[in-house]
Amino acid sequence: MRRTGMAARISGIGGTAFGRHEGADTLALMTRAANAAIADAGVARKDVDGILVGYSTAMPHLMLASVLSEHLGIRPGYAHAVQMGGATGCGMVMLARLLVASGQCNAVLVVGGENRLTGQRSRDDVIQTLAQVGHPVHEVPYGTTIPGYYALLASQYMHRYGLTEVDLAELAVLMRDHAAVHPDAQFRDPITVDDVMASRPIAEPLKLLDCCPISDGSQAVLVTRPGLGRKGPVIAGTGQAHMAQHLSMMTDIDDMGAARSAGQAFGEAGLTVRDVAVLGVYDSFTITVTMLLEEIGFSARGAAPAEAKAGRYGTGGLALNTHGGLLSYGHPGVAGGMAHLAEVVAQMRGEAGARQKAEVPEVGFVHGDGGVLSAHVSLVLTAEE
Amino acid sequence: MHYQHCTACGQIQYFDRPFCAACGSSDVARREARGTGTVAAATTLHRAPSKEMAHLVPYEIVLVDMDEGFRAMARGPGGSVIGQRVRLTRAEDRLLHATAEGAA
Repeated sequence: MRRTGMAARISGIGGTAFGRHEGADTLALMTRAANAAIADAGVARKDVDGILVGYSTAMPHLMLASVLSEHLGIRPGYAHAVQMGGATGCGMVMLARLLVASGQCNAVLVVGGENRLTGQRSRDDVIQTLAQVGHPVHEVPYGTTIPGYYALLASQYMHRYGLTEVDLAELAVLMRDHAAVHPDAQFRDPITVDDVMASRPIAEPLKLLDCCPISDGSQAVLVTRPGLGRKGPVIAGTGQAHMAQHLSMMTDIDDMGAARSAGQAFGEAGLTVRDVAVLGVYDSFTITVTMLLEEIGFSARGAAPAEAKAGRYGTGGLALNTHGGLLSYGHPGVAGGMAHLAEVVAQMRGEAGARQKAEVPEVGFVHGDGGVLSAHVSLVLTAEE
Repeated sequence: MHYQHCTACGQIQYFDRPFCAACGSSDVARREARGTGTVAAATTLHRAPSKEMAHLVPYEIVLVDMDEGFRAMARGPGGSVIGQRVRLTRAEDRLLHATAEGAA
């Protein structure tokens, strides 16, 4: 039976296109998304009384939420930054819901954004910063990169479930197909499995088109109590799991934490994977989304790529990352994981344009992961009564 | 290479701490590993994380399930396959390097 749970909903969404935003810094990009989300919700700026901000690698400030609040001209009663890697966006929304449901806040602005692509720091700096999610003694000195960590996961997972590089490529093709009809996506030119296979190797078995790009961009949502601002999907269930930070400690690739996290969220909402009609699942690499879909239970082990090829995850089916995901819509850090949420909300409002599911979805699911499938956060959304 | 053994509960851990992560006991002893294990994962990197390491590409990184029961990262010789037996030795670059067990 569906439960309404603690009352908080996604009232507003707003963001920039992902790609290149020359000359726009973290604050400028975050401001665009924040203003758009507040306007979309129809909530007065003075009524925004909570601000949660995701970290920015381009602006590693000690007090980013206070800086952004001042910049926006908002004086919240609750504000701080959050850092959970790619799980940050979902983590902030989970917290925003707790803040609203507890009565601490009425309207919590959740923001992520940065100029990760065109900022002052070079691409080498960014890649080096990201690689620090590894262990400083036992992993980082070996010369691993984020694609390298995920490649090590891919090597184990493909071996166990008999998946091939061609199989994984199906997820890259699907994400590009979806991005092709979103005007704000970074990469919209169609690709084929052959294109993925012919792209240059980055960390075998992962090739360039198995990997998300580095982008500039921002995304924000406004979480409000019922009765304040525009109606929107209710955050009906949330969950988290943190099994380990470092890949060397993750010896059970069938239990990365995704199913535990999703299980909590579905349990709280009184729903199951079978109730879901629209999906936003973290896809930093083709292996990421494959493992998450299969551990959470949307596909059986080893079956997600074939089901993606057969159309099960298209807009006529489970509608996975209809904006194109990190792989093609783009990945500017925290905002990347939030774009999945914004797209699920757009679908549940019936406002996804050319990407809209014919039947407006009543139940949505969003999952973010940070590190190397290290931190997991799941959100179950239901249509507001 | 070393690992830690908890005298109180018997748990082992690869990452050094002054306590056991399983039971909290501070009675942990440092042990020398035999250096042998089985390849659990392998990748060859074609993009290094930094300019300083760019000249090394392509290079292989493996995860090895050590016979003592912990998992360790090492540089691989190239062409490593899951399930293969390897020996880890510390080289001049202070990193662990895997070679096929029995190889010179």
